[in-house]
Amino acid sequence: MAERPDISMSADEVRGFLATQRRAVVAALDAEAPVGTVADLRLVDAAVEVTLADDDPMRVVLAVDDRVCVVAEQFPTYYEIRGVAVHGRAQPVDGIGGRTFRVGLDDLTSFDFGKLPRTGAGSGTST
Amino acid sequence: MTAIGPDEDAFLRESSRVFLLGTRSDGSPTAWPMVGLYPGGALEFSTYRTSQKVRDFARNPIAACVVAPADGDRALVLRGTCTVVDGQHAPSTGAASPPRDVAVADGIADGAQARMRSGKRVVLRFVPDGAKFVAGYAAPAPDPDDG
Repeated sequence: MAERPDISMSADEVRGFLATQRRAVVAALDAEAPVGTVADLRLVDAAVEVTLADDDPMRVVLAVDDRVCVVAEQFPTYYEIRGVAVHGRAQPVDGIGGRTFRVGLDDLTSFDFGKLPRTGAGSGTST
Repeated sequence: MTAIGPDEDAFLRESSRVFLLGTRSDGSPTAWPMVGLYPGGALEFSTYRTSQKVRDFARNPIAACVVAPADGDRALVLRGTCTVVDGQHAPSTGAASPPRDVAVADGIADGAQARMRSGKRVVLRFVPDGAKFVAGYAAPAPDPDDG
């Protein structure tokens, strides 16, 4: 089996990508079941800062269980698909039950389809 | 959350940019951006048989989806279960019918279809049991002085 290419981003590439993103999907747990929403995103130092809509019930969910995954992604064309999933704990910025929280960039996965070879093994065009 | 009604059904048929949510082995939440195809009643995803998400949903099928068009002012949040469909290698909509709202080059689509036929890929089927619209990717930014 052909080895799959490494298309993850470097730390600098992750930060550069996240700095361009304004919205993200937030995944959390409600009674151990995944729940999600869409929120505002910005890069702050070594963390992402997420702001929920004022009436988003995710505020209550995160006040009970702060485990979270924040995903930013873009897909203008196939080879421009890039994304970052940040896993961690939602740290309240404006108090417990507030709508803004931060997640550190310590545990993340990333992908940049621009790093795929354009032909042959791992390119997406071969079997 | 409510059941899938006509508004939700129409939204799902028009939108294939989906974030599939599950849990990692330590129980923490995770999510994958995917192309989700909706033949009616369920969302289907094509993925490698050996992928992490297949292992995660085999361990725990409790799942959610956020259907979020990049230019949409609303997104649809779904709760339900996600399982691997035994013996099915291509979405029910057909391997040769790519989604309308995601640009995929010809060579890429051809390669994916060949891998479906070879059995290297499997279908994950997400069956929703509730849905709710939320503000989407193109929703106006909240007032920073509000709340």
